Order: sequence, then structure tokens, then C-alpha cells
Amino acid sequence: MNAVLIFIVAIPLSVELCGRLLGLRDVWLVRDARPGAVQRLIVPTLVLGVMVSWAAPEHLGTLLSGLLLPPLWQVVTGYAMRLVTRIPRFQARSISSHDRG
Amino acid sequence: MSQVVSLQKALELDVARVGGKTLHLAELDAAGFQVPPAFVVTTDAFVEHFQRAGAGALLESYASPGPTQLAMLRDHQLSPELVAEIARAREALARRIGNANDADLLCAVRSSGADEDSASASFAGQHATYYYTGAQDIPQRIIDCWLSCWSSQAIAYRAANDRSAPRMAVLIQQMVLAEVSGVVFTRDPTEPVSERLVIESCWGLGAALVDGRVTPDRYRLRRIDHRLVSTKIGTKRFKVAEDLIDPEGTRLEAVPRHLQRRETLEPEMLQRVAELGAGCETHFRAPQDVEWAIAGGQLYLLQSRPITTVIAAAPQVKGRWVIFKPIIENFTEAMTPLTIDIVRRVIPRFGQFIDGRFYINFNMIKALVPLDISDAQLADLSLMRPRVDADVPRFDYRRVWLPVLLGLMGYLSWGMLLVRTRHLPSQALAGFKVRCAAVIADDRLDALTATRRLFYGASPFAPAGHLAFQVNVSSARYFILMDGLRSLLARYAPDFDPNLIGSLCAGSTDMLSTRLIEDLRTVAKLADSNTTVRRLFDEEPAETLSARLAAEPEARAFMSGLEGFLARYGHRGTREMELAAPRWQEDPTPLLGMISNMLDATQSDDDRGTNQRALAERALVDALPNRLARRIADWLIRRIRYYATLRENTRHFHVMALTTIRQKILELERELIATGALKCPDDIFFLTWDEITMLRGGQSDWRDVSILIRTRRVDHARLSERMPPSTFNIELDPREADATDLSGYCASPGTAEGIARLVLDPATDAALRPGEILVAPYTDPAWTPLFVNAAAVIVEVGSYLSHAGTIAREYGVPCVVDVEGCMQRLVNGQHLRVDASNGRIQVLSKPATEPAP
Repeated sequence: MNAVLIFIVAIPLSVELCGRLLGLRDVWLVRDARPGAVQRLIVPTLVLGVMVSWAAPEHLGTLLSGLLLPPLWQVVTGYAMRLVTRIPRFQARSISSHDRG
Repeated sequence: MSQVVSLQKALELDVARVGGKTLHLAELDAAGFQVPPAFVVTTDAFVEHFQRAGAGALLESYASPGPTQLAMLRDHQLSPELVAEIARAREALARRIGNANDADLLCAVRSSGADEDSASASFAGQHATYYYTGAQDIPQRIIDCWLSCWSSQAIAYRAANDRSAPRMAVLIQQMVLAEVSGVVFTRDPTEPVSERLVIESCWGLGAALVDGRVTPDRYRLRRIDHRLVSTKIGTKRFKVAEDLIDPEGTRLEAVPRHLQRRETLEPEMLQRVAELGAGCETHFRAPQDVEWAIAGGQLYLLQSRPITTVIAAAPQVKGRWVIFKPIIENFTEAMTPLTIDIVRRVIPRFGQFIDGRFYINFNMIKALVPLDISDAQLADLSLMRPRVDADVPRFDYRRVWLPVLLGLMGYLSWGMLLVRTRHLPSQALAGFKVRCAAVIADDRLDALTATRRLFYGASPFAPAGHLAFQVNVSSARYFILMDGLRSLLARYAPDFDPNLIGSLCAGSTDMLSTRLIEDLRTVAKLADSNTTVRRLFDEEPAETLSARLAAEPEARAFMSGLEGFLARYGHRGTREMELAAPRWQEDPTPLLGMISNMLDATQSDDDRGTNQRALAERALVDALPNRLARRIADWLIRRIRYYATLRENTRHFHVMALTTIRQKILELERELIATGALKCPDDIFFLTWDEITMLRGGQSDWRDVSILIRTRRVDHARLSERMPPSTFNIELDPREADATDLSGYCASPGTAEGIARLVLDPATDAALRPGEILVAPYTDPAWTPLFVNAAAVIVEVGSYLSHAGTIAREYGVPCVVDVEGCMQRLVNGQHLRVDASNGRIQVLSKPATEPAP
């Protein structure tokens, strides 16, 4: 039961943590926005610490899988989308009332 | 029997030998109409030529010759006897019109198919016509006309209309070097039961109009007495010049700016053109489509053919579709074929282009939105039409599993981006400019690969500045938050006017669209502060203003300010979602027009937006005493303001991507024009990507695509005239409106009275005077300076989140969007009352002329 719970909680935690880390990178060159972006990392990092202490040592693998799922999913769907839109039958069509023949 | 006969002699022959077009002209010439002198090469010559070339089989069926046979036929010359006969006929033509030096005589070479211009099939635009043809080019042009029998369009048309095997005569007519020309339809082809005739006219030769290169002036008159019913002046940016200065040139010339919106026909000439059309109809006893031209004050009849088709009310579409509002509210014209072909290749199949506009699959929306509402209500939601008075829709729990499943998958795919974009400053998106510059510099990328690179090419973990498209999609949270705010206020502040929510959420200081106007105003102030520059703006015609300013030493400060502005915003322009639309960096003339408008305008109260917001905030304090609810409302308002800004700002970068793709297309166009594969600028936008690839690879050439381009230009012009249906195969709830009032949806609350000013082009139409009501088909940043003086804004398409709504709220101007038919039913000078809060427009004074229904 704990393993399932850890896996489920790890997914939004991963989304928040990765999103906020990338958010920090996004605003890195905007000096005024940097402190806010760092602050926003505090809560998910603390939650990660709690999660690690809760899951360790027997469920660390489960926690890790939950944390890895969103970035991996994003990579797979991102590239799948790119491939799908290259296949003509999955592309949008165009029709016209002036189509002849 | 001679294979070349004069127009007068053609009357003695039958249609199978001289073709429908020639026979009609010969009859009209004999009846006393002013027809330019001409001679005709009969179908006997056509048959003999192809038999001599060993292509007799083509004459027995409508099969197409293969590429090798086609190339051979192009090179197969006319017999010397026929060439000599044509030369004699041309000399006789020169003598008849009194041209002493017949070498100067230019002719139009026009197809005249045996089955052309008949009562059942006109073949309009299917066969070739060539203008400005000198003596030495006539034989080759005749061959080109003949070969147009086997263009893909002509074959398809012939097959669809059950025509027999092709037979084509060729009419060689004196060129009428027209100052004004056009078409008269003796019965409106779009409304055959309306008992109206339609006259379309443009500057220069009618080829520009027939080819769809210009938006003509359009006059509707009553058939019975030729009384003028409505006038619509087009913006005629180009013309096919009456004088051919450069014989190798494209023939297409820019029309001086002061003539672009000027009427081409005086009332007296309008009546003469109407009478000409009516005369042709009386002669043939059937409604006619008549081409005419005016040269040296003389009205010439160039062609008359029966109207065989009317524009279909709508294409036959399978499935249920709803128009995609975020695109149509940016420009209402149909997209060009190339824009469609490139964009559709990066869009999955949930969407479809119908008649040049983008629609979304309604069945898919229905599956994804598990609300217990009717199809009409859901379509209204999809069209972003607020349903203020409607009950809060209930969830349909039986259909919730699919959205939940897709929502979870979407969360995994988009969750990180949603987190990243919660607090994204606009400066963080500036990296997209670097990305676009890299794409332009990379010669290996063509327009299609550049599109893929810019829209999907970045890794999901790339900086947000590379993901402008995805960031834009993520700002759609706006809708959920807005719905939350509406529900909260409906529950805890029932006395609060929901129309004021828009004013509460306006006031972003970070929005690039409003910053663009502030920066432009700074440039205008530079112009105003220098007497020389100001004088040039007052006195110099728009088309030469740019060059004069560049040459004027006193204008250096202004030009430097303008260059700085173009460096930031030069990728923008009017109709900026269309790849064929020029950008300010290519031609700053529209921008100078906007500055000129700013200089002419007396500034209205700039604080209207701030005042409106302050009023709304006070009303909220009074109506919402619950402190917790207040804090939640404040948070929602801040978030909505942020996401609205993010949406508008990412659009700035979308447009940058589109401009980058356009630059790639223009590079390709220059290459194709240099090799002779294309002749005219902008023609490339009327081809598909595959057709361009074939041109580039040498598998086809100009002769293969010229008719295709012309046909598509005409189709595009016709489609752009019509406001597209909002939905296909979905019954919408009728609007509440009576005969005198118009209705729409509130995008910015308030009421105002004033004089209507219809604006089609913000750069060429004069500035709005304070207190006038702006009436526009749509708006984009080029329209924004007009908002400053507008008492109210009425827009034909648009939604709460459209550019018009967003900017109107920023400026505190009452604004009604999605007002169907406002450009047709309202006329300049009417006194209007706009009750934007209730989405109603009342006409207080009668129109000067009866508007079109």
C-alpha cells in the first residue's frame, strides 16, 4: 500500500520539482525574477526530503520510478507528436467549396 | 478554307470552328457594341496542328498528354503557312485601327474553346489568356492557349461537365490599355434571387481582377432601374498597368496609396457599365458575366458569357465542425493555399481547413467536455461566446472517464510546462528571437522544415524562450480561472455586474501590444517635435514618404527612432497570421500611415482604462464583504491578468515564427522568379508545397502552374469576401435581434453614442475623430491607435479574449464583439448607440443609403 502511495505522490512532486527547476533556468537571465524562482524550489525540495526519508530504503526504487515517470513521459509524447504530424493521414486536411473535379 | 478569319467573318462560321467566346463577341460587334477589333485562329488550325505533331489521339478523348509529350508539343511550331496567315491578319488589324507602325501593336491572345462560354459551362479561368503580346510572340502564345486544354483544371472541369474532346480556337484581340476595368454580373452570382446586378472594378487592366490579385470596388444595383443599392470600396493595392514600361517585368504595379481606397467609377460611368451589362443580357436573353474596360473615356466590351454557376452557399462537409476563434478573430479573409498547406502539416487531424478557415472537430470537443448541455450551448462555448444568463452547466458523470483519462495523460505531458509558466516574465521569452535568427541563417532549412523546427523542434526541457507555442497553449488556464472568478462572484457578490469582470482583470503593465503602441507614440512624438518631419507627414504622399524621410538630414532622429521600433516590432503587421501578408520590416509604409494617424488625432482621455478599473474595483469592494472571498477574488484577478498577458505576449513570438517562415518562402520565391519558374511576386502563396517542390526540381514550369495560380487567386478573392459560417452541421441558438438593432457579445463594458466609422484598413483610412465609433471586421495591433480616440468599438468577429477585447479593456473603451453583419448593415455617418454591457447596437439615425441586406 505504501509503495502505491509513494508512487502516486511522487508523480506530482516530480512535476512540481522539475517544473520549478526548469522555471529557475528559464528566468536565470532575468535578474529580478531569480530570487522568486529559487524560493519556489524550497517547498518541493523539502517534500522530496520527507519522501526520501519515508521511502528509504525499501521503496526508494518506487519513489525513483514515480519521479522519473513525468520527464520520461514528456520525452516520449513530445517525440511521438513530432512523428505523428509527419504522417500525412494524421495531418489536418483542407477542403474547399471551389474544389473542382 | 482559311484558318484565320476576322471577327466579322467569324459570324458566318459555327461555334465548333470559332469557339463560344469569339462567336458571342462577333454577335455583339454586329449588334453595335464597342468591341475591340480582333481576328480568330479557327479550330481547324488546332486540329491540323496536333495531327501534324502526331498527337491526333489527344483530339479524340480528354486524356492528358504525359510530361514528355507535353514538352514535345510545346516545342512543335506552327506551320509556316499558318504563321504567314496570322501575320497578314495582324497587319489588317493594325490597318483597321489606324496604327501606322504595326510593330507597336500589342494584342491579347485569348482561348475560345468550342465548348467554352456555353449556357451550361463557361470554362471561366480554365483556359489561358495572354496580354501584351507582340507580333513575334503570337504563334507561341497560340500554342500555349491550345495546350491549356490539357491543364489539370480544364481536364477536371471537362470531365465533371461531361464535355466532349477538346477543340479550341484562339482570339487575337487589340489590347485595350485600360485605365479602369472590371466585370458586371447582370445577376448577383452569390444571391441569384436578389434581383440585383453586381459591378466590380479596379484600376488598370481587368486581369488583376479576373486573376484575383486585387480586391475590387463592388457596386450592387437594382436590375430593374439600375439604382445604386450599396457600394463597397476595396483596397486596390495593385494593378496591371496600362503602360508596359518593362516588357520583361511582372506587369503588376503598386497603386499609389491615395488611389487605393478611391472609387474607380463615377456615377455616370457606373450607369453606362450597368447598361452595357443589361444590353448583353437582352441580346443573349440570359444573365451574363461581362468583362469591360475604359480607355480614353471609351467603354469597351471585352467578353460576355452566360453566368453558369453561382457561388455555393457552403461546401458539402462531413461531420460537425466549429470555427477556431483565435485565428478567425485575427483576420477574416481566407488563408492562402500555401499558408494552409504548411500549417496543416504541423497540425494533427482534430482540425480541418474549410474554405480557407480553420475548424475544430466538434464531436471531439463534445467527447472531451463532459457537461450536460445542448450542442448549441457547447458550440457557443467553443466560439467563446459568454452565456451570462445561462444556468451553470452540470457534469455528466457517465462521460467523465475519457476526459479524466486524457487529463491525466495531459498532466504528465504538459504538467511541467504548466508549472514553469506560472511565473514567467516576458523577458524570458526573448530567446525565441535568437531561435528565429538561427533558423533564418540556416540555409539547409526550407519553409516547411523551418515550421517544424519552430513549432515542435525544441526539446521539452529547452528554455521557455524556445517554446513560445507551448507556452501560449499553457496560458489557456485563463478560461478555468475566469470561470472560477465568475462562479465566485455569482455566489458571494450577486449584485456585482459580471460585465465589470473584464475591467477588473485589465491593467497589465507588461503587455507587449500596449507597449507597442506606447513605443509607436514615442516615435510619433519625435515626428511631431521636428517641423521638417511634421511637414513631410502633412504634405508628402504616403508612397514616397519613406524615401523622402530617409533622404532628409533633419529626419535622422526620427528615422533612428523608427529603426529602433522596427528592430523590436518589425515582424508584425496586418493579417499577421497569414504568411502572404507583408510585415512592417519589409514595407514600413503602413506604419508611417499609423504614425500619421497619431499625429492627426486629437488625443482622447487616456485615463479611461484606469478610471474604468477603479470603478470596477470599488464596485467589487462594495459587493463582496466576505474577506476570504475577497482575497480569493484578488488572487484570481492577478492570475487572470498574468495569463491574459502571457497569451497576448506569446502571440508576439508566434508572429515572429510566422515571419521567419515567410522569409524562407520569400527566399524561395526569389529563386523561382530568377529561374523563370514564377513570374509575379506573391504567386508562390497560391501553390501547395508539393507543387513548389516540383517547380524547384524542374519537374514542372510556369506554364504548368500559371492557370492554377489564377484559378486559386480568384477562388481566394471570392472566399475572402464572405464571412465564413461559424459551424458546420450544428444548429446554433438564434440571436436576439430585431430589424434595426445589431447584437453581439460584451468584451468591454460601458455605453456610448457616436458616429459610425467603418474601417477596412487602419493604415489607409484616415484617423478616427474623438467620439466616433470604430466599426471593424477584426482588429490586430495595426488597429490599436484607433482605439485611443474611439468612443466605442464594434467588431464583426472576435471574442472576449480577442485583440479587440483585450485592448478595449486596457483603454476602457466599450466594445462589442462577434457582431454578425455589422460591416454590411452599418454605414459611415450613422448615429449609433452602443450598449456594450448588454451587447446591443442601436441605429439612432437612418442610413444615408440603403444598406445591403
